[in-house]
Amino acid sequence: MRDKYLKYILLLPALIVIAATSFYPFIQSFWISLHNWNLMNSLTMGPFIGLSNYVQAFHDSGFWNSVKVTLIFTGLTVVLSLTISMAIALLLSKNKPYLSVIRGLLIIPFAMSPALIGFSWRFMLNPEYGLFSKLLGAVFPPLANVQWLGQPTYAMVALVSVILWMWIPFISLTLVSGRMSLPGDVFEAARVDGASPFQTFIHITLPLLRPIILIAVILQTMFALKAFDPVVTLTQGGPGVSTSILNYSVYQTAFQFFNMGYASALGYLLAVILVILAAFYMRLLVKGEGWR
Amino acid sequence: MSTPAGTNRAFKTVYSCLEYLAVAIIVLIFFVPIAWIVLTAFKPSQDVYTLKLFFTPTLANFRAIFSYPLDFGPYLLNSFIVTTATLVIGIPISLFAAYSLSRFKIAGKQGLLFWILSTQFIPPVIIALPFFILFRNLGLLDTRISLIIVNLCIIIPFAIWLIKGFLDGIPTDIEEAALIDGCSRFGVLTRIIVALAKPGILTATVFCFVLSWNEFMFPLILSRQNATTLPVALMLLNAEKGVIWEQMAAAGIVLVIPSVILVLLVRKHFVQGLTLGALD
Amino acid sequence: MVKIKRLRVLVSIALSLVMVGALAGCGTQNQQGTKAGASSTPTTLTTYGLLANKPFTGQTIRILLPNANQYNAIQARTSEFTNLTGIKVDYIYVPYGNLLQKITTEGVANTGYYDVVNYQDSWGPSLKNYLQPLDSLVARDKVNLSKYPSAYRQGITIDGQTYGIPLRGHTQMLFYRKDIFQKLNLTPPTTWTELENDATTISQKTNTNGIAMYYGKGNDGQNLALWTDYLWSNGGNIFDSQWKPIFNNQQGVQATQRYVDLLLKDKAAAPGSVSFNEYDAFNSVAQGKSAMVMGWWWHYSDLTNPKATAPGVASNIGFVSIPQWQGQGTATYAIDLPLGIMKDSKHQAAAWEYLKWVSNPDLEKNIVMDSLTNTSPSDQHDIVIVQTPNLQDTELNKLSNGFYAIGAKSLASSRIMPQTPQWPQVSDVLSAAISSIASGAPVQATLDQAANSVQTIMQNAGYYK
Repeated sequence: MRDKYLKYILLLPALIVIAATSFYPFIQSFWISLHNWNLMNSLTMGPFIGLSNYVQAFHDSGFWNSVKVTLIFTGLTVVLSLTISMAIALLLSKNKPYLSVIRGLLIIPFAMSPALIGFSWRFMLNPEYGLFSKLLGAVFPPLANVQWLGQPTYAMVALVSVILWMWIPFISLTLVSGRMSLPGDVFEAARVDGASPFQTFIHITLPLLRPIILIAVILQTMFALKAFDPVVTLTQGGPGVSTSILNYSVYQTAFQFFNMGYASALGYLLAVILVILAAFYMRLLVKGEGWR
Repeated sequence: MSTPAGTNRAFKTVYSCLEYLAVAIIVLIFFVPIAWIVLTAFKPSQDVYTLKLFFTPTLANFRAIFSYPLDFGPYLLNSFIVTTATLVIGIPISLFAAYSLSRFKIAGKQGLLFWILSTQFIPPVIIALPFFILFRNLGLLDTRISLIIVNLCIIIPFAIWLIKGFLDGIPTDIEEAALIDGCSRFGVLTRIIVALAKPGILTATVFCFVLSWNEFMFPLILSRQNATTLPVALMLLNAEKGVIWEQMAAAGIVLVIPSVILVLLVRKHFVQGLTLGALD
Repeated sequence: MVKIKRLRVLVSIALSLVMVGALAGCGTQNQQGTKAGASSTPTTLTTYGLLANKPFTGQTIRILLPNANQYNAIQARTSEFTNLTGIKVDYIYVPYGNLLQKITTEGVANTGYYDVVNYQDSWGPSLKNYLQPLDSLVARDKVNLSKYPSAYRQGITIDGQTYGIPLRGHTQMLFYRKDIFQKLNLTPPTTWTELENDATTISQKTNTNGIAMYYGKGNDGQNLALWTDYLWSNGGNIFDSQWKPIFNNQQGVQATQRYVDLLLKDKAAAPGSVSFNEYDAFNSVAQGKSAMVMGWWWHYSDLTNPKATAPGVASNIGFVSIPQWQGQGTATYAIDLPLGIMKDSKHQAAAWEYLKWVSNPDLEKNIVMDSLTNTSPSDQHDIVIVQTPNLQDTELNKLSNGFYAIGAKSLASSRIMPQTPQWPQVSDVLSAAISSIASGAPVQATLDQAANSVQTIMQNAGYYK
């Protein structure tokens, strides 16, 4: 049957592009990570040094700090984003005309450029003329004198808020559309049986939405881990190294310190963490058969 | 339960008031920053560092970014060319792959799907250097082609994923009927599937447009001047004197308008496209 | 590929056209030469030290620079150079924050795309593999480098070789609000103690912050600029002669403590200082929120610009030298941005002609004169001077109320950051440490930890064999 070949022919272009654009450089940078190569010293790759760069990473407190910061940042982002998005989704998933308008507009933050948002946040968090600092101070007086980018905890909150602001609308709209496409009779039955809204949510809504929630978690994790522009534009990893996520510190090592070998090793370790995470998620997805 | 009707009604009123309040807060949180960026873009420079809501609006900031020495016109053009070419190449390729993955039995399909998605977990920064060296050797540095190639690596996995999810949700009977009528598989794909999966394909296209349009790190590293795209040009406003906010805001508006328009155009299908495949 | 081919065809067509033109049009060109430049051109050529007979006519050199008004002004005056030498100049600007990365990636690419780059002196050691040493050219054309202050000369010299010609350079100054000082009967500070007193008084008696500082991390270690002023004026240093970090010794801890106490103990600095970068701090003064700020002198033109400042600020800006540590004198940080020639450039000789022209004292002086007298467009206004004769120029000092005399005085005792290829890494560690300390981390422990990291960096780089 011709389908036998067609299915591979259809797949082939995509696989070639993915292999060429992801796996070729991925393997190439593994090779670099086994060498001592500082761009400031030479234009060509230096001597082969085996796993020394990896050994160095394990003794590098900066690396461990970045791992910690990355996990905190990603964890906070995913948990907050999903919780808040779920609350917003429940609120917006009713069939009311004004809500439908809001749902339509809510996608806008997703289309904004992360670099622009990072810069704007820095502008708006300025304690002397920033809109956010003034508004927050007016609404919650204890927050009036907070230096948002001056304390490790607050700076992390500020950075997380950029990602949340950009992605919550998208995630909650995903959940809204999932919630609205669930069959109404299940909820009707639950109501007749006298289930409280909370019980309905826990025992019906959540399990039915599980595949969508998983997809949302994967997307949110990926985009939290890829966050780069907001760190460059908002905190530059500070104060101290409290917001220096791995993606940023790899970039620094590679393109500010030009230590290519070491940067590739750090990047590889980051990739390993991420691929483990990915495998974990995929197993969850496959188990739930959400993605056939 | 014998709650007096009055209390119940009062409760309902309070509840719906709270609901309005919550919705209002959400709208404020997500739209006040945008409104502020828009206001800043129209402010004359002496009002930028005030919280004034009323001022004499000016187009000077927009004029500034499109005239010498900033000259954002060519960067905008680069962004358009790179993103359009990326989508024109990437979306059909992804559609084919998604169709194949959705409709056929393929050995090791789960592994393949995992492999495709896992590329998105590779930190882009470690891909950047080999690309830089490769493009240097090919003489492709600072060309739009190089940016199109790397953007394909960003969008194709997502596009496959989104389109496949959508195709999974489309029943196969129409296709089978067409096949029996003598239509070829490829004909089914290009005529019937494209028509049926239009919302999904549009969704994926817009999603990928946003990713490609806003891509920052690769053009930062791979372009010099001729191929520089708008998000990187934004950095030009982070000058020795710090960030020129009002011009940054104006450039930001120019930058986001195309993606906002597209996203709004397909908003009905946009999110549905993501969830359909997963739910049924 | 198609594009490249087409380009080649175009280039060869253009070349043949030029040659035909040169053959056919010899007469006219000579005529023009004698008409326009019989008296003026040769003398200008020799004063700028340029080669006669336009040997590089038709070449185009490409220059990579960050944005600055001074460079706009130079670009606007480049036709003079093109007329004199027949060399065309392409200016390409990148954001300051991406400059180092750009130069390095260009060096790695090894394509000779840029001929001249503008770099920051502290990057010199990291970039020297990509830059062409200029000593033989300097000697051949007898270029006088002694016209530059010693800090700038140190900045362009790496391991005894010259890699650049200073083009833009900054010394630090203290800017203050004359009206506020007058109202409170204060005199501008000359020592750190006076600075602390003045700042505290202003913070307490007015609703303006005494001083705006910048302790925020990043931007290539901006928060180290004033820290080194404290450190060096207290007799401390970042490294000892063996490249061992010593900034955590007694002088270092004392200086660091004093540096952050303006914010933490005296509460005299704007609260935002903890995360400010240099620009935020200057903006705080420009917007009338703070009464003093210390930093690069070029900010003066912005602080005195009525359009960029809140009402009442621009006309009330005074300037003095950076204060000293009582009984120990002063030592401030100076920075310069030299022009260097890329090793892979294919137009090195033409690029050198450009360097000679662009460093001529008249050009520098004219740009500033036109700014001070407001005769050039505002995006060409700049006040930067790097050549000592111009710093001492009576005309310039008269127009600027002695601004350049104070600059020259500071520059006489100025120092530069340690010259090591590891500086970008070391500066990142230090910048992070200072920002932690300003947000409340203990001074000694944080500096000790930073010293450990710095020692590891230097060790890995093979400094202690």
